[in-house]
Amino acid sequence: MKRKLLQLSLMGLLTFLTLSLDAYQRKKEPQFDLNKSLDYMQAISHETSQISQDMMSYISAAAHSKRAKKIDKRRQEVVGTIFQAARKIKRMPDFRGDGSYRDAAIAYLEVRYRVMNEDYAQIVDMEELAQESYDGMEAYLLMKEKVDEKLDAAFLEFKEGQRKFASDNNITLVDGEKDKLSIAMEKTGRVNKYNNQVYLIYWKSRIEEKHLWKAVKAGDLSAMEQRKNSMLQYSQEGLVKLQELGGFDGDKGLIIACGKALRFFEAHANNDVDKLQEFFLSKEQFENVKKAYDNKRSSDRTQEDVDRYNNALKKYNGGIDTYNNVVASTNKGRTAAINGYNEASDKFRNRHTPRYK
Amino acid sequence: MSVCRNSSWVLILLSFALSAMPVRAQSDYDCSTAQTLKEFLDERHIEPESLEGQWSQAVATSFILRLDPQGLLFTQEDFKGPLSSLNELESVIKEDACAFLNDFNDLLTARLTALDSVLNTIKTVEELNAYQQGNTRPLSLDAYVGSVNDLRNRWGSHIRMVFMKDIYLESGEVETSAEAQSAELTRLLEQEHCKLQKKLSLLDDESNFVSKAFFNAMAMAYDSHTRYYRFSLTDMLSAFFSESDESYGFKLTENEQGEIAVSKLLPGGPAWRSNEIHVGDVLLKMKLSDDTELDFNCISLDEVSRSISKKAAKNAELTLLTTSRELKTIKLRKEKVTTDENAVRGYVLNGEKKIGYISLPDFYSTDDGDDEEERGCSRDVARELIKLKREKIEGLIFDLRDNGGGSLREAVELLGIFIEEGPLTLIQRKDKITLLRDQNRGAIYLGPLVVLVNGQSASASELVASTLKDYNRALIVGDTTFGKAVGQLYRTIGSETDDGDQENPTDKLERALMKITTSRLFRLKGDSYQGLGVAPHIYVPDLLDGEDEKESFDPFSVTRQQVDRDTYFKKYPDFPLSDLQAENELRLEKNGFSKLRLISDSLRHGKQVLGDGFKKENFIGVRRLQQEKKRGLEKLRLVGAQTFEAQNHEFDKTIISMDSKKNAIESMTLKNLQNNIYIRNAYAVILDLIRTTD
Repeated sequence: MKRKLLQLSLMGLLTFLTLSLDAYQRKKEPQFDLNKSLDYMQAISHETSQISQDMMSYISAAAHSKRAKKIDKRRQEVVGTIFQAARKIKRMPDFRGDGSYRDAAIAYLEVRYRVMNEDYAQIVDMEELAQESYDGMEAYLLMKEKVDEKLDAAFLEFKEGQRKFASDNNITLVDGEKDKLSIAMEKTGRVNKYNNQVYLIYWKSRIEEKHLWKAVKAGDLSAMEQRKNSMLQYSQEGLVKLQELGGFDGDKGLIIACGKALRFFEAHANNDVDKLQEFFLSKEQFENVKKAYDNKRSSDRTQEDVDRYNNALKKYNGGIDTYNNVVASTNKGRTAAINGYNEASDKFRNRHTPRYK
Repeated sequence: MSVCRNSSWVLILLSFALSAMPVRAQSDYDCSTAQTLKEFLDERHIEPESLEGQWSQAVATSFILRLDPQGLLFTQEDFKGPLSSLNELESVIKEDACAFLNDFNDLLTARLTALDSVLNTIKTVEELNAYQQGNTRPLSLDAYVGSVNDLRNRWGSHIRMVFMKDIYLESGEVETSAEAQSAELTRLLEQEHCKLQKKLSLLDDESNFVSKAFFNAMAMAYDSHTRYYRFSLTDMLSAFFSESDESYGFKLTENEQGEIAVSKLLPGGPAWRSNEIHVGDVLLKMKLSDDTELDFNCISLDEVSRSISKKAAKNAELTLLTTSRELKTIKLRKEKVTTDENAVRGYVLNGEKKIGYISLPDFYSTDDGDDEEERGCSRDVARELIKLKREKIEGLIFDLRDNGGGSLREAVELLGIFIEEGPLTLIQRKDKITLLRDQNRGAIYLGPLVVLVNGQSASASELVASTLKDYNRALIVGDTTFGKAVGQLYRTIGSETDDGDQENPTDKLERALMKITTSRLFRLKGDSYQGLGVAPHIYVPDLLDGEDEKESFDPFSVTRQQVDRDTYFKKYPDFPLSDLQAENELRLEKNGFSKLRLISDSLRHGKQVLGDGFKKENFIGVRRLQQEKKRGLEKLRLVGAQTFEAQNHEFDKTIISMDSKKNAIESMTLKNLQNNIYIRNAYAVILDLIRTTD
């Protein structure tokens, strides 16, 4: 699951990378005459577009590879590319006494660098918390949105610098055809967004189930009841949301798997939790009855007392069997639900995330 | 963090990680403790700035008002002469001139002795009747009498007031014979003499009564909920209640007036469950099952404890003076109470509909920081609620009347039982404001809910009532609450290692406990109920006729503030309030409740003017009103007595049926529930609610 989150966390980092200038291939280092306005501009866009390609390669690796080391290696490559690009651009002279376009590009790359290095680290930290609660997961996604917004703002400033430079130097910017890279990035964005939406619906019930069992282990009836009710509510709400969301480009695999998991949580809340509570209550009842029974002298005990004691013991023993059965069936059902969802999620991403390099 | 009305038994979150401050047991009144206390309070109290420039005056007022609340001991001349140090306490403490407490002790001793000698001058009722004008309670130092000569009149008038109350209000006859009056006077003079002797003995021993009273007065000058406790931490943590013995489930202490007062209730014990006896109540008399009557007016705490532990005290009728100075008689039966039992018990009120009932007299918590198996009241309430849900209840009455507060954490967790998710309250510690949220998603009970409150529902109770009100989650029924929106923390003073210093036994340091106001609570929109209380949706007035003890009447209360916050939360649908209120008013009018309220108001007014010339007709008027009120209450109890039958839920039924003692106690509890006019009215309100929202 952690691996999936890592990959989700990068959603949106790509959105603003594609510039409208021609994409440059990185196979051969081109030479630019920095005294010419078009070359000056292309020199800058050459560096930024290289970063876009590395990012795409990284995202693709994260989606299709299960090797964490490989994924992190790609991330470090992106950080390195940004660093190198910024260094190169910093070395560029002013263009006819005006360094504003270059500075805008540097500022933009510095934001990108910080995002990949610092914000990314924070996002990784938040992943741990996201595993513990729905609020944590929401905060984690919010953090990612904030990072996107930060990049958005930086990119707009950069783009404004580019526009001004072009206008000052009589260069006409034309929106080119969407290249392969930008199409892939856009699709990845859509895939991640959809995957995230379904995941949150799933997670909202799943985390309640996790907490429910923590409460069961602690014998905390109060928390059990609260978690049961919220798990029931969220799974039912989730089923409705899945209907509204529909499939992704006709693929309903992910919502079908999520729906199965939610129906498991719903049935678990409806059918099992009361039985678990009944066990704890019968235990408490038996202990109390036993205490009252033991406190009475044997000569004072009535047949009714004996019957009450036996009944309480019978209920308690019955409760133990029920408890064990519920534990076994829940473990089985939970494993099927989680595995089913994870498999569907892997399949979904494999199928829809574009492959690049 | 605790939020409670008074010095209840809360042991929650006792923090031991404190700045270790040695408080030296002293007989020479050095100022080190006072200095340390002042620094401690200035640093940690939520509003120390309110005392800026008037610290000396506030502490002096707090000190005198606590030691002499009726203005019988001190005079204006004293404040200018022997007690003039009180006017410049701040510099006195700074200059280490606390020896003035010695003078204070001497003066107090002299005054008590002088008052005692006045008693000897009163031989007959006629002599007593020479004292003409009744006293009013002073609220500031300016209201104390001018000179020592005036004190004699004040004291005589005080005795006369007590005497006339005894004769006209307490005795069974309207007209008492001269002989009976004379006998009563002799008894009264003996009793007052005894009380004075008891107070003198407090000054006599080595308990440092005056210095401890002074430290507490210092604390209470910051606000009345900040306290310096006379007992040590060890006392506080020791087992007050033996599980092997039967008990009423309360602990007693001697207050600063030498009265025997309730200092702690054992959750789940007989006193707790009666919901009739509260921390701070003064114990006056006890009538045993063999009709022996014990008067606690002037005996020592040890003697009282011995009397209570007697076998004949198994069933007793206790006469109490409540914190609002109302006389109350309650019946209690001792029982063995084990702490593993659920202190909270749920009941089914079975009538037109099955309604659950849970009463919570205190937001207790057993958390001492290490106990993983801690069980606070929220868990206990939840447990009972789960049992009640199995009885298919259609509504719930949650009774917070007279609940003075307790653990903030428990209050927050309890709210989570009734609210699915969201913010619950804002808490300000120093300048930082934190939003407390429901930690557990999901609720335990989402059905119709009535929360019953009264003027003594304070602090954590008010937090629960106000938040449930803000969410439209519960219908709040009863009287406006106490008005305390501040929270306290317990802090020990003195270090553990100091306590056990064997090498220097003479240099033993006393470890004491402080309760200090460190936070303010705000509602979700940023406003506060501090000094205002929480107004109910459905007004059912308290039928009290004593003195008003609410926060707004306290000269030392923390100021009300508000913060600029507008927290978003999802409200439940509005109640059809006007319909519900109209139904309620009609019912109160019809069953005589409203009339009783008017009688109670007249009674309160009548009591206030008793001292005006000591007119016999005024006393008789009050007596008539008291009887009218008593008759009215009896009649009210009869009206609709069959509204519902109070029952135990199935889980309790089995246990109770196996234990004849428990059975007897529970029968009494069920009968009390059925007869309680406030619960009965709440039952009617919840039926209205179910009807109107169906």
